[in-house]
Amino acid sequence: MRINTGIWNDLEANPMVGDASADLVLVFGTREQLSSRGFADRLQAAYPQSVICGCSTAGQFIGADLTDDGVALTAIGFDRSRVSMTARRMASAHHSDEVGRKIGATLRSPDLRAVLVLSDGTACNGSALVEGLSEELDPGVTIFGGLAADGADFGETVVLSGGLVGPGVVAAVGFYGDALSIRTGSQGGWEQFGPERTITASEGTVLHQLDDEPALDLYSRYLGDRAGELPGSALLFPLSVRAPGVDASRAVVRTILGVDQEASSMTFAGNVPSGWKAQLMRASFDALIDGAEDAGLSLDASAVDGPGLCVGVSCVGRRLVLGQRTDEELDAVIDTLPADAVFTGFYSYGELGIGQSGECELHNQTMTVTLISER
Amino acid sequence: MTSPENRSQRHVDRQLRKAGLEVAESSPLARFVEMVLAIYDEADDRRRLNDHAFAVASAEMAELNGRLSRKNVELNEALESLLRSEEIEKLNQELSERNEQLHSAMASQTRTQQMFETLASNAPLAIVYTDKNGRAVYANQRTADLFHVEPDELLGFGWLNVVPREQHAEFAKLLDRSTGSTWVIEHELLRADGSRIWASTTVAEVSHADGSGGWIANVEDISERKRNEATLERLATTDPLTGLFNRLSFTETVRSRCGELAPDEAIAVALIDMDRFKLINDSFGHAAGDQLLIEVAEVLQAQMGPGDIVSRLGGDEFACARVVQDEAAAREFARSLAECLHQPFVVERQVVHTGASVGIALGTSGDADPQELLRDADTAMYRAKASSEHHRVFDQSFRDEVTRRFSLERELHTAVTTREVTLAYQPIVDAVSHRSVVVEALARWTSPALGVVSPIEFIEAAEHIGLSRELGRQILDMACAQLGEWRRSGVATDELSMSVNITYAQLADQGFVDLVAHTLAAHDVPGSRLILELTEQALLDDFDRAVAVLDRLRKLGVRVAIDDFGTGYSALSYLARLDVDYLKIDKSFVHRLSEASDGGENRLTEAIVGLARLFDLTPIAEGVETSMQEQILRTFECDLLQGYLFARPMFADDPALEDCLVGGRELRLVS
Repeated sequence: MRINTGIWNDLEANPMVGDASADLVLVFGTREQLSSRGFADRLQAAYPQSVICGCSTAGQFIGADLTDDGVALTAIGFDRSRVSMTARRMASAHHSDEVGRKIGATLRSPDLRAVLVLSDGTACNGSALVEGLSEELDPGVTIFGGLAADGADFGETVVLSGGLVGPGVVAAVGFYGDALSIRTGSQGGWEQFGPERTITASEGTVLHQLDDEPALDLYSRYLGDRAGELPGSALLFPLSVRAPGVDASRAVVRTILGVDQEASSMTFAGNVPSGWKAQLMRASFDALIDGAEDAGLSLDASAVDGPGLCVGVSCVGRRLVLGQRTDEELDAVIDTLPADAVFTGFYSYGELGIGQSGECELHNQTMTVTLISER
Repeated sequence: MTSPENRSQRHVDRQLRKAGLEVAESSPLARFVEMVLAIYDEADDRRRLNDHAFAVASAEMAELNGRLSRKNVELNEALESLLRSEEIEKLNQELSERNEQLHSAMASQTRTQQMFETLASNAPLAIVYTDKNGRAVYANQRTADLFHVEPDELLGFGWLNVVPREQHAEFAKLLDRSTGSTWVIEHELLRADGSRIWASTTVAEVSHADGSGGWIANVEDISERKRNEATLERLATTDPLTGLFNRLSFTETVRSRCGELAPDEAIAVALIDMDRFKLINDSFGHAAGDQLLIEVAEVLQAQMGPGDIVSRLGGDEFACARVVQDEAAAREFARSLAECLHQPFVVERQVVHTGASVGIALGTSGDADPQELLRDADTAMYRAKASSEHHRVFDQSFRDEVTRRFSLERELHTAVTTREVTLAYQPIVDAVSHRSVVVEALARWTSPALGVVSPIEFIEAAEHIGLSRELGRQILDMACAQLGEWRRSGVATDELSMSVNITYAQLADQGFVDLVAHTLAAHDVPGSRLILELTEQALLDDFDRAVAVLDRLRKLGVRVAIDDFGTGYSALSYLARLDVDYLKIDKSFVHRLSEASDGGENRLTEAIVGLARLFDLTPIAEGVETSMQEQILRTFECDLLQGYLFARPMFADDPALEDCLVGGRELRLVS
C-alpha cells in the first residue's frame, strides 16, 4: 500500500501527489475551491486511471495540519485490493434511503469490505441514507464517511465524484479484497446538563417547542451574547434526545443544521420526535480531546503492521469549541495510530460511523476514525 | 475605554516587553502574537459561555424547584381540605363505628375461643373437634399426649389415620352401625410410634346456625381395663398354677370339638390321677406339691399333639382329650400318658415317683356330654389304679362301678367319721406248737347302705378320698387298744404280738413314727409287741425313705413284716439292706404246693423260706388251708403259719378268738 499526501494551494497549477498509478484519490476543500472552473478536469487529467472522490468541508487536514485554505489531497495505491465508485443525485432528503439502497446494490460484492460515503450536507437525511445502504450490504461491511459541509455557513455543500461536482450528490467508494483490514471507531465527549425537557412540538427533524416554550428562545437564553451568532453558535449546545423509557446513557446526540427565526424553529441533523425527552449538552475542552483520543484507541491499531490509511471525519461543532487548538484533537488521534499510518479527513455536518448498536449510524459532534490497511 | 479584548492585548504587550522582545508590525512575531491572543480569546469565550450556561441552568433549576414546591403545597392543601370535608367526616364516622363493631365481635369471639381452649386444655379428657368430614380441626394437649404427638400434628386426622390398617374394613362397618347424634365406639387405636391403645371414644354431633359443624369426640384410654378383662378371661378359663385350661374351658372345648367330629372319629377323654400326689404333698409340703404339679403339666403338654387338649381339673387330677379313629388309638393315648408320668420327678432335690393312673372314655356322637365323658374316664381311671398297666379304657360295665364307688366314697366318709370300721383278728400260729404267736388285725367294714364292703375296696376308696391316713390311724389305734386290753385281761400272754397292715403312705408320713410311739404308749403296749406289715411294692417305691423310717421304728422295738412276698417283680438285693423281721409268703405260693416233691412250686416256696432264713427273717406262710400244705411247709421249716386251717379272722367279741389266744392254747385244726 502506497500513500502520498499533500495540500494543493495553487489551484491553477496541476495537482500531483504520488503518481498516476494511484487507485484512489481523496479530495477535501472549500465549496468555492471544489466548484471552481476546471478544478475537477485538472484532477482527472492528473489521475486518468484513478477513482477520484471528495467533498466540501468545514476544514480539512493531513495529519495534524488543519487548513481552511488549501485542498487536501491523498493518493492511495493498493497492492492486493481494488476500489470502485458510484454516485447518485438526490432529488430531496426524502429520497435518502432510496439512494442508499441503490448505492448499496451497485457496490455489493462478496469481497466488498468497506464503503466510504460522502454525501450532500444539507439536503440529505443521513440516518435514512445509512439505513438504505445497510439494507443492501452484508452486515460485515464497514460503512464510514460523512456529510459535506460549508464552513460554518450552512449554505450549499458539494460532493466531487470523478468529473462530477455539485450539490445534491451522494458518492460512495467501495473497498474490495480479502487482504483488506478495516478498523473503525467513534467517540463524542459531550455531556448532558441542566433540566430534562419534553419535546412538545416538532416535525421530523424540525424542533418547534420544548416544554411548550419555543426552542429558539431557550437556545438564545443559554447562548447569551453569542445568540447573535446563531445558527453556528447553536453548535455549542447540541441536543441529547431519547424516547421515554430509554435510559439516559443511550440517548442520541442531535446537532443543529439550521435556524428559522421567523418560525422560531430549529432544524437538526436527525429526527426529534414529539414526546421524546431532550436535554442540552456541553463539552469541555478536555472532554473533546479525550473523546478523540478514545476514538483512536478504540481502533486497537497497535497490531497493524505496515502502512495504513486513517480517514477521520470530525464535526464542525467540535471545531467551534476547540477553536485555534482544534489541531490538538487531531494530535490525540495520531498518537494512537501506528507510525506508518497516514491520517486525513475533514470537518463535516454529520459523521457516519459505528454506533453503540455495532452498526453504522449518523453521528453528530463526534470524531469518527477508520483505519484501512492491507495484510 | 478598555474592553476585555484590549486588556489581553495589553497584557501580552507587557509580557513581550518583559521578555525583551520588539514586535514589528506584520512581522512573523506579530503574526505569532496574534495567534496566541486568539487562543486566549477563545479560552475566555469558552469560559464565559460555560459560566453563563451554568448560571442560566441554575436559575432554571431554582425556578423548577420553586414550581415543584408550590405544586406540593397546593396538593397538600387540596388533600387537607378534602380530609376536612364533610363527606370525609361522615365516612370516617362510619368507619369508626364499623371498626368498633368489628372489634367487639372479635373480642367476643376471642373470649369464647379462649374459654373453649382453657376448658379443653385443662380437661382431664382427650378432646378432639372435627369438621363435617371427620377431620380434626382441634385437639387438646391430653389427646396429643395420648397419641404421643404434638397437638397440631393431629390436625386433619380422621378415624382412618388412627385405626390399624388391617382393621379398617371392620371398623367401617362399626361406624356404619353407629347412629344417632351421640354414640360410643370401643376400638384399638394406633399411636404415632406404632404402639396401640384400646380407646373408648364418645362422639357427639355439633352443628351451628351457619350450617357448619362437625363432631366433638372424647377419647378415653381403656387399655388397662381391656388388659384386666383379658386377665379375668384368662383366669376364668385357665388354671392359675399350671396355666393349663381349667375344668370349665376343658369341658367347653371338648364340647365344641365333639360337635366337629367326623362320622369315623371319636374323642378320647383321658382323666389322669397322680397316684402318690397326696403323699408327696403331705411329705414335702404344698410348695413342693405345687412344683410337682407344674412339672407334671409340662410333661403332659409335651405329650400333646396338634389339636389335643390338656387341662388341670383340680387337685392332682388332669384331663386330656384327643380325636382318635379307634379304640386302639385311644388305648395308646392312655398308655402314653401313663407312661410319661411314670418317670421320676425331682422334688426338693429328692427323686420321687408319683406315677399316674389314666382312665379313658370315648365319645363318638356329636352330642356326647363332656361331663359324662369325664365321669366315665374317672371310673376307668379308678380301675386303672388297680391294674398294673396304670391305664384303662372305660367299659359300660364300669358304670355300675361308678355308682357304687360314689356311694362307697360317701358311706366311707361317714364310716371314718363315725368309726364304723372295725377290726377282725386272725391268729398266726407257730408251725410246731400251733400256738398263736401273732394276731393279724384286718380291717372290716359293713356299711349300713352297702352292706359288707371288701377291705380292698374300701381301703382304696379311702385313699382316693384322702381318708387313708385317718383310717390307718384308727386301725392302728384299735389294734393297739385291743392288744392292750387282752394283755390286761390276761387273754393274751406277753408273747402275743399284734400285726397291723400299713400302707406306704402311712410309712412315709412325717409323723408316723411318733404316732406309733404315741399309740403304743396310750395303750400301754410295748413296741416289741407290734408288727407292722408292709407290701414289697410299698417298701420299694421309696426305698431309702423306708429304710430310714424302719430304722426309727426299730428303735421303738417295733418289728416289720414284708407282706405278699414274691408277688411282684422285685430286686432281692434290697433284702440285704432292709432290716425287717418277718417275711410273709403270699398265699398264691402256698396254694400251689403239691404232693409231688419235685414240683417247681414246692421248690420255689422252699427257696423263699430259705431266703428268709438266710436274711434272718422269720417266714410266715399265708393262706394255709390244707394239712398237706402244712406238712410240706413244715418240711421247709417255715416257722409261722396262717390260714383257715387254723383260724379265720374273728371279731374281738367272738369267743372263739379268745379261745385261740388264751394261754397260747393249741389251736384245733380245722379240716
